[in-house]
Amino acid sequence: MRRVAPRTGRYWARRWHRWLGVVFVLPLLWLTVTGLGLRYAEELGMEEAMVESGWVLGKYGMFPEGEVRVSGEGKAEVSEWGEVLFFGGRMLDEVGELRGAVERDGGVVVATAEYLWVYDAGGEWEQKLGEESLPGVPVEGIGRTADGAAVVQVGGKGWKYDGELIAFEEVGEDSVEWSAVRVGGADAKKRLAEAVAGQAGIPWSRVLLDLHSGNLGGRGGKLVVDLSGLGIIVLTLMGLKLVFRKPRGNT
Amino acid sequence: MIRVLLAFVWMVAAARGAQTVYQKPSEFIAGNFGGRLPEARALKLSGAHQAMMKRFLGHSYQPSTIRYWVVGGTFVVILDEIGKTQPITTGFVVKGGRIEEVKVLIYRESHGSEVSRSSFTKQFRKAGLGADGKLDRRVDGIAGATLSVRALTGLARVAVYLEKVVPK
Repeated sequence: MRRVAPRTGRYWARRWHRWLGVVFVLPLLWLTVTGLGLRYAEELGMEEAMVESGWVLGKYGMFPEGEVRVSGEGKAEVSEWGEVLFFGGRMLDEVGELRGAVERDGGVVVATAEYLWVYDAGGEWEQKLGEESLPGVPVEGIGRTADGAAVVQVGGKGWKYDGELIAFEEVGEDSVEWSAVRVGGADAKKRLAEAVAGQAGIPWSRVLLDLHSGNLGGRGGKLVVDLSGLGIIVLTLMGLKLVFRKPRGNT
Repeated sequence: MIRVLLAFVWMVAAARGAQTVYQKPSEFIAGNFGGRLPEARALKLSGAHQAMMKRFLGHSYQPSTIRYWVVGGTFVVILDEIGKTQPITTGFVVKGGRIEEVKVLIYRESHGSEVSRSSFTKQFRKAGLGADGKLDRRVDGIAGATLSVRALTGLARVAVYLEKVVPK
């Protein structure tokens, strides 16, 4: 009759070591590969290579929500997507609720509820007019007179600015061509998404770091990384226990 | 690239309305001119000006045209500078090359709002620019608000410099 060995601590350690190894093999590979990738991110060019994948950028919440609204025409076209403004195919640093946009000296004046943002013909940010330089807030709209002067609508009245955008005076609204804000279609949203993807500025090394730390996977990802870390500790201790086991006695 | 990243953070915070308005800029300006808001003037920053901005702030100033208000030698300017991720809107009063008053008007950062306390901003009073381009008065920092302190200190240098170069 075969003698059954007693189930000692070593037996359980070996058994658990085996199964934990199987369970954690993929997460450990994940951590190892991403860790090695991070170690050599610079050599692999991942510091400079920027993410353009819409799916990955979506994970970072880089795409605004809501509908796209468009104002102005041609060179003066300005879009708003979730309070993010876009002008000339690029995303602006400024945010706000778009009230309209008009051309001025080859550049554009963008009106949001709280500010006027002035860009020159080269698209460079030239001025910001806050409530101290406005007839009041919120700005309800923006337009132009026949002679090209910018007019803002505040409190239901039109206020015409001088050429330097310093002084303003009330003007009859009949003489103003107001900028309309219209809803952009799917094409407009696609164009803006491309602009976001082109400017997002997230290097692949950052993605690798977030994959390594589990941040990109949300709570689940963090939990997997935490469990993997614990798994490594447990496997190490069990492995040590198995390697440095006491020799059996000869009784 | 960093600016675009910061802009993203800014827009998220702005979308959430995460800002504290301590005082409207128009009230700050009027408060220094006997309750009257004088007509603004504008200075388009030249290459030489921007070179100084880089010295004071570490980067050129945007927007490229700065509005200011000046009456009887009292110069008032409202400046923005990013602390960590958000622009801090600050009002400065400068007279005779010395800072009369600094006030944080709109604070948008999640941390570091201690810079808006008068116990901090009063350190700038009577500060001017030394020969080395630094403030000639020591400004003690605030633990946990290092970047905001740095932003305000840089803006203070800009304000004193602007007071010297703007047409009066």
